[in-house]
Amino acid sequence: MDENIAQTPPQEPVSYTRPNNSSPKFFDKFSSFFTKKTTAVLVILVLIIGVGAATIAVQRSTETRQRAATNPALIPGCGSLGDVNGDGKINSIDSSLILQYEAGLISITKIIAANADVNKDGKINSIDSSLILQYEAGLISTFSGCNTGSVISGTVYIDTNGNAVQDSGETDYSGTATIKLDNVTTATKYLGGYYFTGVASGTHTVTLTLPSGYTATTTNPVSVTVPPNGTFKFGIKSTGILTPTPTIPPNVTGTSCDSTACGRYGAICCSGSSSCIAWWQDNSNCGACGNRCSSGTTCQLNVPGDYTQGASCKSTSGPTPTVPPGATVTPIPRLSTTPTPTIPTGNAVLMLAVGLDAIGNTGDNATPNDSSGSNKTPKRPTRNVTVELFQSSTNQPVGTAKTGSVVYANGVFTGSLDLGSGFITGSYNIKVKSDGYLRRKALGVTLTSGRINTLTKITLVVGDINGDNAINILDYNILISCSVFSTDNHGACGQYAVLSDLDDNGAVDQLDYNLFLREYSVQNGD
Amino acid sequence: MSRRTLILIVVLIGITAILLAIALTPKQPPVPMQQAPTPTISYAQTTLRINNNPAVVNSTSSAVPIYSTDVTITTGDNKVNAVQLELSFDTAQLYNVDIKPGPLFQNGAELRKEVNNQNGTISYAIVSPLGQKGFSGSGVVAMITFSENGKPGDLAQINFLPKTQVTAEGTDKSVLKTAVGATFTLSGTSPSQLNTGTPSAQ
Repeated sequence: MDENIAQTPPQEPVSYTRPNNSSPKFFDKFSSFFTKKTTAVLVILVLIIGVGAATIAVQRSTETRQRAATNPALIPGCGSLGDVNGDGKINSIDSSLILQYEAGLISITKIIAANADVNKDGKINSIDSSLILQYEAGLISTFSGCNTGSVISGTVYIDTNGNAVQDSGETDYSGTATIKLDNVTTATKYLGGYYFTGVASGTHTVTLTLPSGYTATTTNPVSVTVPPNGTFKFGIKSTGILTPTPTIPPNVTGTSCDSTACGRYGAICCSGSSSCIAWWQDNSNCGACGNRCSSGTTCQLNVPGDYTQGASCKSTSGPTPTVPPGATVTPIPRLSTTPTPTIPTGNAVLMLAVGLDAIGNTGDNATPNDSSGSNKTPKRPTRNVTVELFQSSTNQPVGTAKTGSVVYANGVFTGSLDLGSGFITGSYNIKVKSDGYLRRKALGVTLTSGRINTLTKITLVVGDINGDNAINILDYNILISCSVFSTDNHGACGQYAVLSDLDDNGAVDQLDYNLFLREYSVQNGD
Repeated sequence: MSRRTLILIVVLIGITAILLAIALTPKQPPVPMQQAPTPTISYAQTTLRINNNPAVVNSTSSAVPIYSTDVTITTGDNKVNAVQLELSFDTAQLYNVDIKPGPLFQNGAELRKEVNNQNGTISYAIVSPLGQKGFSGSGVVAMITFSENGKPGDLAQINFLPKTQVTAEGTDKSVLKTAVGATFTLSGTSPSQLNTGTPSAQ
């Protein structure tokens, strides 16, 4: 009975469900498949594969980390592309510098610009910064701006003496110039510099489109044969400065005034002005912004017919009257659209003329009218000044320090400061300071309430980079760290990059170093 | 070779290929670790010291003896690249004072050298050559030479003034921690040490 029952096949269910007793059958087959020999082979193979794969993975991970940590070197065949700080490496420091430049925190030289624009799109921005980071991380092996052809590069400079050679003191053109290569490619200019990469072998024509008001002093266009890489400096010279009777250019660009264009015509841009001011004709800005000619005087050229020699208020009849306290100064019609400020009751205005060493026509430049020795086209034409007043007799401070700004024009920085209400006429010692310069003191200056007082030009010594009113090795250390000679990856430079550019030409280089050595003998401010 | 063994080998080759593919697939690099900010307390680790044992540098018996003493530096972890020494000395006991660079700055540039034998002050600044990295360790920064003016047994001092500074790579502040001057007795041709001088901290 039992046998009969056992021989009866089980009835198939309608929906299949794995029977609970199926596992033993599977493991039986599995066990029979994995014999001792097969299992041993399997274990050995798994071990070999596992160890091999793990080794490869660890090795790759280590290589990646090492590459990220050791700062990738320059890309062969790409020159210094990506190496923004010139330390021979392309890393996050270069990336950071680009972001700082984009944010307007630091200036950048033409050499740096050529290296920073890694995708050669004519812009230096976060895209370039990102590409550098990708290169450092090993995600990309080159930059799109890196071409295998030759490079043609150079600069456009102001050839003041027209001798077709960039002499000492002849600075790069600060405006925008267009350079063409074979009439096909147009280079974007960075502070006077241009470059073309990926240039095919052969002879090419490089053409400078002359900026308005300039004439070429060097060959233009010029033929350049590559390889090797070609370099050519275009010299240009202003034509406007030679005009005996200059006219004031319209020169209204939005709300700003182009001081460079104005300067070519002997005119100036004053704070808040949207047009050039013919200072040699203007009784409110005679020779300098805000330098008002008082009643009885008129603004006249120092040398008739030659506006390059400056202008000043010259008496037309009798002594200069003072303005009674409480009175306002009657505005004198002028060429500028800037409203003429009035002196509030009881106030006094101090007119400042500040000379900054190595800039313009002042300072340690022995031949002020010569372009060499000082920068005539500062990158920062507006500077801050702080003025402190002290009683001459007691040297006690009077009120709080006044701050304002001075603007570069005709070799000096000029501006005016409101000395505040309740000002008392008297004799004062005046201390003037600007960022990066030692404080200087003028003794026994008589200031009169209710009128504009002019302070004789005061010259400041450059080199106080850290602002402690002394020039010492702390400033030296910062200067070197910010310069092309840095050995610490600009570690001590910090926020001082701009002030380290002593001659304000856009680069912290040998010129700044030499200037610092000259200024070092002064050491302490007043 | 049995069919089962072949199947096993094929399966293992497949697993090997998968593992190798995983291992060789480029991975995102680890995010560079942010460096911990440098502690601001310990950046100044440099000590300046004037040797208390001046030595006679000219041995001619007929000449006025000239003595020399070293200004030594110990930098700690600082990578020093410039030193500005502001010193004062006794004009009653010392005269004909001069200063010159020591071995550490043999090729350096003297930014400033002003020795005032009337007021008894020295202002001396010397820097490493351009492009040369800062140094760490100990050595002689400068050597001060002088002649004695006082009587044997008198005390003479050369001390640091507060404006003495030392700069190093990576920081815009002075890294001078301590400056120790020298006090010694005048004793004809062989000055002898009296004490360790007057310490002054930056």
